[in-house]
Amino acid sequence: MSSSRLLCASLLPRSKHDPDLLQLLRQKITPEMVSYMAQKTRSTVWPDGEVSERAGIPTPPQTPFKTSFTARSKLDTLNCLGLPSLETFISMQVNASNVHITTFLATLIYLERLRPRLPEDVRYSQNACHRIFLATLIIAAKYLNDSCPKNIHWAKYTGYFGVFEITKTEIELLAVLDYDLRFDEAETCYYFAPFMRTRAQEKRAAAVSVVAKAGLARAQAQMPPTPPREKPSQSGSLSSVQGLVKRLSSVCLSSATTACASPAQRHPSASSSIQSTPSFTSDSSDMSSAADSDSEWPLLSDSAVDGRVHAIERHQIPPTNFHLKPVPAHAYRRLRKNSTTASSPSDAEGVECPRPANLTNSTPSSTLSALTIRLVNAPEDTTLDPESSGAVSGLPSRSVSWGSLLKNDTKGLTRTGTIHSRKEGGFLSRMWGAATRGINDRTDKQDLPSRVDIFEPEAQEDYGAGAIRHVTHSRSTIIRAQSQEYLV
Amino acid sequence: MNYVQLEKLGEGTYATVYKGRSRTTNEIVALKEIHLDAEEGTPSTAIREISLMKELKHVNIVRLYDVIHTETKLVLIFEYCDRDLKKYMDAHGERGALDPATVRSFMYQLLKGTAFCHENRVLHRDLKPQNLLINKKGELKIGDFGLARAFGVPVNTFSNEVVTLWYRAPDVLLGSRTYSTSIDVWSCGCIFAEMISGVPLFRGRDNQDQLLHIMRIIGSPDDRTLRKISADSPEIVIKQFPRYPKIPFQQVLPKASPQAIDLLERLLQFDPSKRITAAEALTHPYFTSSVNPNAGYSVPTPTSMPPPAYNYGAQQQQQQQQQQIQQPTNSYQNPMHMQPAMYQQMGQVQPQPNMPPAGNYQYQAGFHAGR
Repeated sequence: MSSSRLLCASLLPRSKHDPDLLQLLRQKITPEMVSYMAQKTRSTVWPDGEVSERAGIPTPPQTPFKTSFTARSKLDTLNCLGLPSLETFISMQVNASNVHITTFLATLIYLERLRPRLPEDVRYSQNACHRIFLATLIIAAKYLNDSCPKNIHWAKYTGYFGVFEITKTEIELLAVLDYDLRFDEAETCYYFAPFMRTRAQEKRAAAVSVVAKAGLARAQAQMPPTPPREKPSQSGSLSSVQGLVKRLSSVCLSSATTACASPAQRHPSASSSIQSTPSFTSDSSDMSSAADSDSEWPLLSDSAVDGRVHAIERHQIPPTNFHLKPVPAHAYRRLRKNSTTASSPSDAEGVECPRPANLTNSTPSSTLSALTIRLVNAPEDTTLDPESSGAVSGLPSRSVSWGSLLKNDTKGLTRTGTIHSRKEGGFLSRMWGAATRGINDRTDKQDLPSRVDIFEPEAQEDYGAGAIRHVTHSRSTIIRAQSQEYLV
Repeated sequence: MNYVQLEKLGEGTYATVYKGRSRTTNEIVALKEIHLDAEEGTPSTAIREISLMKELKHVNIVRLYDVIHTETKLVLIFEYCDRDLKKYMDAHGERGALDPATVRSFMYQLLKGTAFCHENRVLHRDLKPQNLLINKKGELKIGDFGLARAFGVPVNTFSNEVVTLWYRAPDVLLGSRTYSTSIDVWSCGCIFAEMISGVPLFRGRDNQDQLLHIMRIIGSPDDRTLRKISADSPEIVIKQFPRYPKIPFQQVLPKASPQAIDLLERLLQFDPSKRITAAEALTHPYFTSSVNPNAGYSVPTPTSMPPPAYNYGAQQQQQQQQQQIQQPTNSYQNPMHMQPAMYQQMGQVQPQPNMPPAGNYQYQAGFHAGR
């Protein structure tokens, strides 16, 4: 019966559609989409690349190099009038009108159709980019929705253009488009592809979650755990993981990703709780699959999966002689030395592995060896897909024990070091902040998708909070599928 | 403008229609003038009507020739039709009721045009006699695509305030937003009954009253049907309805032939998933059987505008039909029991109406907006 249910956005059964497209259309409009839209608008208006495109610069579109002096002076006047950058203008429109992602992205299709047809006079008219984007968005909204704002409302959302000017552009563009507004799903998928997770990636995600489950099963079978004794084996697995990182970053460059990281924490005080965790590596990989599978796994290549299995297998040896907080397996992908006091010279390559000797001998602050973790998040990955949510739901008790473990740790921190007491006060607010940060960061962030950030903690005191953030985050991710990015 | 504006033909909510004549070809056209509201800009209805109608080229759909878009008004230039079905019924019918041959011809053409829309993934969403135009040749053409929408790509939002109340399907009346081509089929059923009897079949005052009018004739749906409808469209809130028994259509429309009644039965199903599709309806024995459609009727009075004489099916097809319609009562008892293969097979050799080719009044210049 439910199979006959129609999708309200298409009036066809869900099964008739590309699941990746449906997934995308459930998302919110991201800053990446806004900058992509701005870039597409510019390339529509100036298809020959006459304008220098320096994405992310908060200035109005550059003067076309080949335009006449008059055109240039016109644009200068415009700059004086204080029209915001195209990116800002677009995000203002998006926020004020609360336009749906489908309407927003459909604008891409129309911009593409306009590109070869746009007459010169429209191209070099005043504020061409801003006006053309707005009019195209209005046309998409009118075509795709039974009820939508009037032009006067669109005009008021930003207030930079009068309703007359907007309507005039709308009429011009409808004529240029020849009212050719219909598009099919193939076209939609083609033009929305930069924001769609491909099915191949999804398959990998499924494969990875299977591997993660297997890892968990193995880990549970091998209790009690012992720590990694041989450094070579570690670095061997690490180097294989490093190899993946390189591949991953190339994957990242081609897809819209943001990444950030925060320290993972290790310290010696939580001995009682550590005994309940089987092995730091296997456990951590479970954790990461629970917390992050939906966000990062899809980007792993097949070989990455293999490498990962490898890593998991090699790290079955659990810690006994030191108290180590589980380090998420993905931490190994990019482990970066953060605190010189906590690391030995051998870590200078930017790779650091758990070093019991250092940890036990150092002061509380230095024991918190900072691992800067590179997390690769594709924006559309945040909604839990069936596979990864399966992996997540398989691990509820584990997440809880992880949480309680961390609480103990925090207590340990307060006991052993005065440094952390300051952070302790803001514990709850930090948890909340961490939980909501994903969204806030998302909206505020102007970073471009292809960039991969390394988050460096400002001070050592942050580490306790960072770890807490990890927990809140991993849990909030499970609960709140809309969170776009996390700090681990 | 390349057209001379002649007398006014009618006035709608957002447009005025004039008769016009092309300066270049002397062809008579219909000019639909849409006044542009300063605040609204180009109306979305006009945008969609133009966008969809320029794609839909079919003999049973009014052809859009051209668009003239200025800053104050938007003029759509359509092929000219003499009158709409409502006026035709008033002028030619017997107290509005058309003769069976005309009903059969118009119904066939209506379903043809509707099936073509649906094939092209377009919902008309406002089928009613006033929006069906009849030309001098007796051709019926679907017009006014102001409420029409393309569907099939998951990027749209749809309202449930669609279709003129009397022709609105029960699922839409219940509040469904996940309706489908079946809502046009319901409207076709209402129009069918109206052509037979001369008066609209369900004449409610509002949504709720309209539902009651429907139930008083086709009977209240059972709980299972209601549950199924609300499962298919979760946005529906099902209320308690009085239990009305079904009144046989033969009682409501004593003039209709059994085959017409059978088709009407299938068009006016409360459950949208049980409604026959427009394409399937075209292969119904009402159209395809060689039985004289006038059997059991009074002899139709000749009209000044006779509908085209359809044979409703090629020779070979009629033979096929007859074989299959040996047990017509069984195969048509329940749409769920219909054999899709049979319809498919028939659909492949769709009967072609005996009509003049459409080419002689095709717009030569093509479509150029505002040029």
